[in-house]
Parts: sequence; C-alpha cells; structure tokens
Amino acid sequence: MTAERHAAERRNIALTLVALAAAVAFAADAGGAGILPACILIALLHICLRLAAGLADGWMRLALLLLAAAAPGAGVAVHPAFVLPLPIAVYELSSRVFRAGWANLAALAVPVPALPDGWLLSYGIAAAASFACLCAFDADARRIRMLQDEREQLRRKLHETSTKLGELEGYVRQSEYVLKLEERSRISQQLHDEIGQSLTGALMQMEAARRLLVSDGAKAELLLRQAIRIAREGIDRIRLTLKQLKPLPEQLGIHRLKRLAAEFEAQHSIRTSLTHEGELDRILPIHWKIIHDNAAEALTNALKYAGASRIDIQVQVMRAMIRAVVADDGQGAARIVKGLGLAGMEERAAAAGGTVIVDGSRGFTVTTLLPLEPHGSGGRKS
Amino acid sequence: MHVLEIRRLTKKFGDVHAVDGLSLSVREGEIFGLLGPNGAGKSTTILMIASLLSSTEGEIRVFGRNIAEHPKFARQQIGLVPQDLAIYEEMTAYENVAFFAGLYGLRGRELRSRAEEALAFVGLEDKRNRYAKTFSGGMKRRLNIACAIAHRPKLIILDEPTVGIDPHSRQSILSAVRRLNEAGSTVLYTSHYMEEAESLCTRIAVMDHGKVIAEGTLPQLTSVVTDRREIAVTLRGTYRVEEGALDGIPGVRSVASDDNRLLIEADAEVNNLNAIIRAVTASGAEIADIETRSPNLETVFLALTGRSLRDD
Repeated sequence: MTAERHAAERRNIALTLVALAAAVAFAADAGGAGILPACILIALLHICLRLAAGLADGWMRLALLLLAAAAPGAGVAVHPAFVLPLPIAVYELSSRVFRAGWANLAALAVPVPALPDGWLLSYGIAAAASFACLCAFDADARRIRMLQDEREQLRRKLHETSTKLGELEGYVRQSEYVLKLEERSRISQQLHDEIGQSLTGALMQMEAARRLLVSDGAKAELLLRQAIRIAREGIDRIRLTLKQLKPLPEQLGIHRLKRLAAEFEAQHSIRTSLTHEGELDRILPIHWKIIHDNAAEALTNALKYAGASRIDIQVQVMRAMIRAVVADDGQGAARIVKGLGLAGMEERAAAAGGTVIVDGSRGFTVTTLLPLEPHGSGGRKS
Repeated sequence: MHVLEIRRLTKKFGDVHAVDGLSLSVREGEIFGLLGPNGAGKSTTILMIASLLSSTEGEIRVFGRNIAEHPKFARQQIGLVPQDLAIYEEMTAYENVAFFAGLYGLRGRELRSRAEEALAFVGLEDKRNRYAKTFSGGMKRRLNIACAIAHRPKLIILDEPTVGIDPHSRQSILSAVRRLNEAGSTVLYTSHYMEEAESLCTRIAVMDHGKVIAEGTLPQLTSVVTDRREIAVTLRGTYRVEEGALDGIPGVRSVASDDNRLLIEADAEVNNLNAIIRAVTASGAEIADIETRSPNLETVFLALTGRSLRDD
C-alpha cells in the first residue's frame, strides 16, 4: 500500500512541476503583463486537481480536463495551460488497465482528436515529458514494492527461525532434565535392589544367629556363614553394577573409529590401520563426531581416487591440539581441487575452531586439527 | 591499532587454492613472522598485501583502511622487499634507491637525504656509486632493503630475504631488520627457516597449504604441542644414580635411566638444570654430557602436519 502512496505522491509532484513549467512558459509567451494572471490560473488549476485527486479517482480529473479541452470547441476561451496535466491523468487511468509501456503511450494519443488546434504541439511535448517521468516513477515504485515484500518475507522467516530455536532450546533443556531423572531413578532402583536384597537377607540371618547363639551354637555358626556369603555376594553385585554404570566416553569414540576402519578394510580389501597417542579421554564427543565424519569422508575419497594399498588412520592428542590423520599410500595429487567433500570437512572442523590440511605430495593425507583447552598449569591464552 | 588485518583471504589460480581463507593481524611495533614450507602460499599472500596481486576473496586492511578502496594510502605505508631482487643492475646503488624513493613521491633535498640514510642504514654508503651488477648476492639484497625503506614506511615486508645468501650477509640482514624495528617500523617477515623466525620474530603464524594452522609467540606455539622438554644426562662410567635422587626437584615429571644415560622429562617452563646437576653430582656421578631437547618450531610444524619445514 505504501508503494501505491509513493506512486501517487510522485504523480502529484509531477503535476506541480508541470504546472510550474507551464507558468514559466506562458508567462514568457504572454510577455511581462501576462505573468500574474497566468500563474494564478495555473495555481488554481493545480489546486483543483489535487482536491479532485483527494475526492475521487483519475476519472474526475480526466472529466474536468476534457471539459476544459472541449471548451474552446464550444467557443469558450480556455487557457492552453489546461492541456498540460492531461497526459498525466490519462496515464494514471491507462496504467490501471495496461501494464506495458507502449500501451500507455498509445493511450496518451486518445485525447488528441478531442483537442482544439494549436494545442497539439503543447500536448505532444507535455505527453512525451510526462510519459518519461511517470515511467521512471513507476519503475521506482515497483522496486520499492519488491524490496518491501522481500523485507517482509525475511522478517517473517527470522521470526519463525527464532521461535523454532527457542522451542528447540526448551526441548533440549527438558530432555536433558528428563533423561537425568530417568537415569537417576534407574540407578537408584538398581542399587536399591542390590543393597536391599543383600543387606536384608544378611540381616535376617544375623538376627537368627544372635538368637540361637547361646542355645544352638552350631546352627548359629551356619547362619552367620550364610550371612557372610550373602553380604559378600551383595558387595560383588554392587561393584559390578557400579562398573557397568560408569560411562567410558573415550572408549566409545575410539571404538567407533576402530569399527569404521575394520568395516572399510573388510568391504574394500584395503589394509586400514588405526593408531592413537595421548590422552584420548580429553577428546569431547563433539570432537569425536568431527573426527569420525571426516575420516569416513577421507576413506571414501581414498577409495575413489587414490588407488591405495593401505590407509593409516592416526589420532593424536597433544597439549592443546587434537590431530586426526587419514593417510594413504596411493597416487596422491599434484594439484588439489577443493570439492564438496573437502569443503564439508573444513566446515565441520571450523565449527569447532579447527582446520583441515590436505597434502598430496606423498600419497594423500588429510589432517584435521582441532584446538583443545590445555588442562592443568593455568593455561596461557594466545 | 592493527597495522595489518587480513580476513579470510583467498586466492585461486584456476581450481587450486594457493591461499585458502587466511586470517591474521599484525600489531604495531612487532616483528611478525610468517613461517611455512615452500609452496605454503607465503609469497602469494605477500603479493596480495602489497597490492601486486588481486585476491579472489577476503579483505586486507592497512591501518584500518581497506587496501582495495585506498590503494594509494596502502602503498605509501608499505615498503616491500620482494623475494626476487627488484633492483636495476645498470644503475648505481644510489641511483637505485633514489629511483624507488622517487616512485613513492619523494623529491629534491628530502629524496637525497632519505636515500643517503637508507644506504647508510644497510651499510652500503661507501658503495653508493658502484653499479649494482658488481654486488654480491648479499649486497644486492641489502640494496633491495634500502630501496624499500627510503620513504620510511610504517610496515616493512620482507619475503624470504635470506634465501641463498652467505652467512655474513644473512646476519647483517637480520640485524638490519632488528634495527628497523627498534626505529619504530612494524615488520612482516616470511621465511621457511625456523631459526630465523625463532630468533627474530615477536609473534609467528605457521602456514601450510594456504592456511594459518597456528599462531602466537614462540612459547605459545610450542605449548600447543607439549609443555615438556627432555633432558638427557650422559654419565661417565657405569655409575648409576639411585632412584629418587631427582625426586622433589620442581618441574621434573619423570626420570628413566638407560645404560649410562638419565632421561629426564621436565616442564618446559621451569628452569631446573642447576638443581638437576647438583642432585646428580651430589650422588657421586660424573656428568659427561647434558643435552636439552626443547620443542621448537620445527617440532611444532612436524607435530601438526607430519612434514618438515624444509623440503629435503
């Protein structure tokens, strides 16, 4: 809507300019004496037109103008200045109907037969000038409309995305909480079962033993032995449970990589080895994901292009950097063209602040470097 | 304020990335080293900074101004000593310096005095009237430097200035760089020689395959790989130092003995050689040799890329 208003504003400006130009032209034409009446006339004309524009569509304006144009034919003396706003009014109406420029231009020719002689030249010039200006204004208005639409779209999209992000964050937080609760309840149930059973059983035996201690010593000893056995079993079971519960994330990471290497070797008969060095448990799950995905990509590439007989995967944890290398002994590459695969690897690493170096001088080597927070000795920040 | 700021600089020759998303910044007053093996993209980066090569992507700013938008300003601030000698053999030393000074807009008395200063700075003032073609490699390189500093640029870039130079000239070039820095210029120095970077540069960026893989001061870079150093003490005879003799020395992580050698793993930061020597000699042993193996830039590069800085 605002674009329409803009266009309308511009037309009004055009009208004003035209009116002023007319004033100048006709004043010059009429000589000094004619200036004031000409100016007043045109000012009045302009005011009428603006009022008309406020009241109704171009039809009213057109009607007024045609009337004025027809008047000389009826013998009424009308100032030629009336011809000037005519093209604009015609354009306004025809542009509602036609889109194409040439159609509007043709429409401007419509009032010509109704015009009195002598007005033809002025009308022609006015028409040409008006047409040019109005086309430019229209193009502008269209552009503004387009930009506004685009902006609306982007705003809506942004809003959608932020809402979604908020929802996801909420969901993640909820899930974390729920998972924690579930885990806690499972652990507590397990421990309860283990401890509860063992302690209760042992306790019962011991109570019985105490009662029989004086009267039946042999029976009491038997009961105590049982109690000890139950207690020992219970402790063993608890130890086992605790061992199972303790997570070993680093083992998970490296094992997944080992499985990747083994499966690759089995499927493609290329000797694939995996070695590691350093404290693997400093590697976070997000690092493992990058290392694993990049290794998978590198293996696929090696299969496609290298013609290698063996591939070595190496994971090394240095003080402030993780280095994961996939190296093959194939034909290498003198020039390395970065395709989607390599670009993907770089993006993955870059998300964790790392980088990927690719070297084709001796076989093909893909090195993923991921920075680590140095532990201990109050790490210096570079 | 940063003298030089490079953001995600990329240069593609056809399909190949010579420089790939490189970012770094050089602070005023430092000697910044760009270290990397041949083919890492150092010279290509330098050419782009000096506006002699257009970039495919990315932004370079000199004193805050984009060099693409303010090329003349950027060129005035920079003095480039390129890897390939850029001097005219048929002109004398003085004529060479004066020529380049003139290119940078110096005129008349200012040109003459600055040209003399530049020649004196590199120690060629007594050879000012000799033709450049009679100069040795090292002298030509020094002349190159003089040509680059006549207009007193705030940032001096030297691209591998000591390749193929005799040791004497090399030392004189290194000391000229230090003096330039002391006189207030910021220096960007590329090299594939680790020792130069270590002894000369305040901060170093390690480059490989068109990217910066690590950046910082020498201690910061070595601490990426490890914070340990190895001290190997060779003992005379078959005397064995008893276990626990070195316990309690701060910074000693582990001690292993291997025939007549003690292999001590210690913190790189802690200076404990005196204490170690005292403990060893106190137990009666005689030290034949001590060797300290600290991580250096060669170690860092090798650890990060699996390759050596030199291509031998």
